[in-house]
Amino acid sequence: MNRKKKHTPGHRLAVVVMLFYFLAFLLLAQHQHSVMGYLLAVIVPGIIFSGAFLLPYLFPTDRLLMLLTNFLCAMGVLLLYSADPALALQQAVSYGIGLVAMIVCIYMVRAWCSLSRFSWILIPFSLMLLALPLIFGNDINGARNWVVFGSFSFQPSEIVKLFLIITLAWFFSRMKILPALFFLLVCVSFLMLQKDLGAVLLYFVTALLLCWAATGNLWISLSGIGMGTIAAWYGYHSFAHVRLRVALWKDPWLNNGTSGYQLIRGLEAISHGGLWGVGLGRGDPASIPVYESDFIFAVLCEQFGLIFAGCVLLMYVALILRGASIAISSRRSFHGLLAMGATIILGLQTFVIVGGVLNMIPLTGITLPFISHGGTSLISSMCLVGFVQGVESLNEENLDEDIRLSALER
Amino acid sequence: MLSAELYDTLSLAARYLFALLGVLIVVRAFLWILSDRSEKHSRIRQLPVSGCIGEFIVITGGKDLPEGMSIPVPWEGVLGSVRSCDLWIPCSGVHRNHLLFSFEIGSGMFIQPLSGCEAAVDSCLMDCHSKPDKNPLQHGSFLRIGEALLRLRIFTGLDPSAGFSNDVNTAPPPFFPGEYTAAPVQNIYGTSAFIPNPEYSDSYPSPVFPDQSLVPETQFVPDPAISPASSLPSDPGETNMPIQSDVSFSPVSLNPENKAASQAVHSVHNRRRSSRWEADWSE
Repeated sequence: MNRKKKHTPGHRLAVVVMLFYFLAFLLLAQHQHSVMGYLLAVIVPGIIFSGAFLLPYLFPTDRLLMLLTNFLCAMGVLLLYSADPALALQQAVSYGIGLVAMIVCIYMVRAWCSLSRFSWILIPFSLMLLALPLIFGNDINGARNWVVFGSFSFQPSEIVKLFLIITLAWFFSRMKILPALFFLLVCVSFLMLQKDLGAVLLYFVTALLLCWAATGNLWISLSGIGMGTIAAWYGYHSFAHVRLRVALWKDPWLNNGTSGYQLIRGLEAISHGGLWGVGLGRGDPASIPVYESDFIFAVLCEQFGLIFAGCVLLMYVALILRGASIAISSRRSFHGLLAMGATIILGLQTFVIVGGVLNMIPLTGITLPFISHGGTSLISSMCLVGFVQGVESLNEENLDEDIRLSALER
Repeated sequence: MLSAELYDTLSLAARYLFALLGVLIVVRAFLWILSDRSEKHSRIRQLPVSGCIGEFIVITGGKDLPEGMSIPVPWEGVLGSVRSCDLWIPCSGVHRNHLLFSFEIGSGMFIQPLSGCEAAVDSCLMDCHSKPDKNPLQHGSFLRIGEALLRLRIFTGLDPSAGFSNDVNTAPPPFFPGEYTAAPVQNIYGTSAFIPNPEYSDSYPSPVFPDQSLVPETQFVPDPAISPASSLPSDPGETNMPIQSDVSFSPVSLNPENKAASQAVHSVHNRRRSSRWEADWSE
């Protein structure tokens, strides 16, 4: 049986993506009058080329997934460069570290069979990380979920997100539901103490969907939904900022627009961009509070327009579809659940933040995967893609084995 | 460097180009996804048992498990009585999630009964406290769960006990014990490089059950077209695990052109499983 070569659509798509970023950074370089723009116009397409054509020589990976991931990461660098070149430089460095971390995660997934005995170590290590902000953390925007050591800061919940996926996938693949749910409960308790309710939502819904994917047990899933509803009701009545966020969702112009200023500015920026955008490097992203992190999607809509923003959302959809397809095609339960968990987290995170920016749902303080400024967030998102790519590399080898075995019969 | 006015003009013009490139990227990405999906479906048609290590043949079962039915076995998963399980065994005595199984090349299939469940592998009873690596299923092994008795057939090339060689010029190991006599045979590739495993030259596996109630009533009569008479078990004192004579254990090949072999084990459950697997594999 001959396998259809996949390089033709990949080549064309990679050329289009490389052309897009070459032109975009070249244009911005004219606006910023900075050498960095010219360097990025060469480096970013080079990274995209490497990811699409050179990395598959190390191990079989999904080229479409690699292209989409690189496109979204580069989009983050581009948008930040249009607003603040210093932030773009930080993001570019995180992008490079994220690529290395992704490759490490690919190797880790491929070697998991020999590393599985260390899975239990992840549990105490995760709890230690989640306890760090409570001891050393600072209150930032009402949540105590950051750890700052001098000029270096990181968000432990972003790292624990990876360990949670691995641990849940391992437990569920062994049908050990109760230990998995207990670990989830402890993690969620730590996050509630930190008042990081966005992460609580992510962890809980991801675990619920993974449990359903692993067991197919409707009663467990319905019980989980019930518990989540009770927890949401408790959070609404216990935390004042939750009540404020819900009130702003209903009426952003509450309190004469003082409380909902960030949301109002984001919506105004989106409407200012219209269908085609105001143009790259134009607009006023600095007028949106925390534009570089939570409201980067509003900056994207303002500069590139709703049509292009819709295309970016469709790229996220394509990424999620690809991840789900890879998860379904895996031979081992653990690999399938790992890829599914990574895909669920990325999709859920995208939906929650984009929905919040567009005021479809109450706003939460989580980042848009790959695009938002934030080293820990970008690296953890790249690691999640690394998990999916690792599973895909095993799927490709399994397929080659099937074809070889079928040839043996001839 | 460009002036501010010139840059504004270029930027306003470029936004249409960027939107067009964005649409082009999205369209190409989804066309790629659709192309891969059709390739996957084509691959499933050409390799319908891709992803399986072999199959279980039903020796005895309930009304939903007719004798002789073949059940494809994936590499790893859960065996139970609910359809969401990787191996669906709708038989009395089989729990919703009965046991975990996992196949390792070179070792066989390991099973781990879940809490409150039991299974018997050949002559060895296992429960949730048993170590899975103690008694793996090999090609021809019997598995008793609830009222069902299954026999494992592993595909050629994956059978660990026959000393599989990766050399394609070497004959594949005997698909079923007894296919080869003690004398070296001319393999299908024209050379006699393969020396059959002498363990397979005498008899079919004959598990001895401590509890005679586990012995099924049906008798095993091997297909004479496949196994020579000299390979039949000669000791009447042994407890044989029979199979109905109309069920042939001809090799099931991954090669879809080998229809004569695969037709022998075609069953209603097989066809139902194929459509179900295609539905499961579709996106």
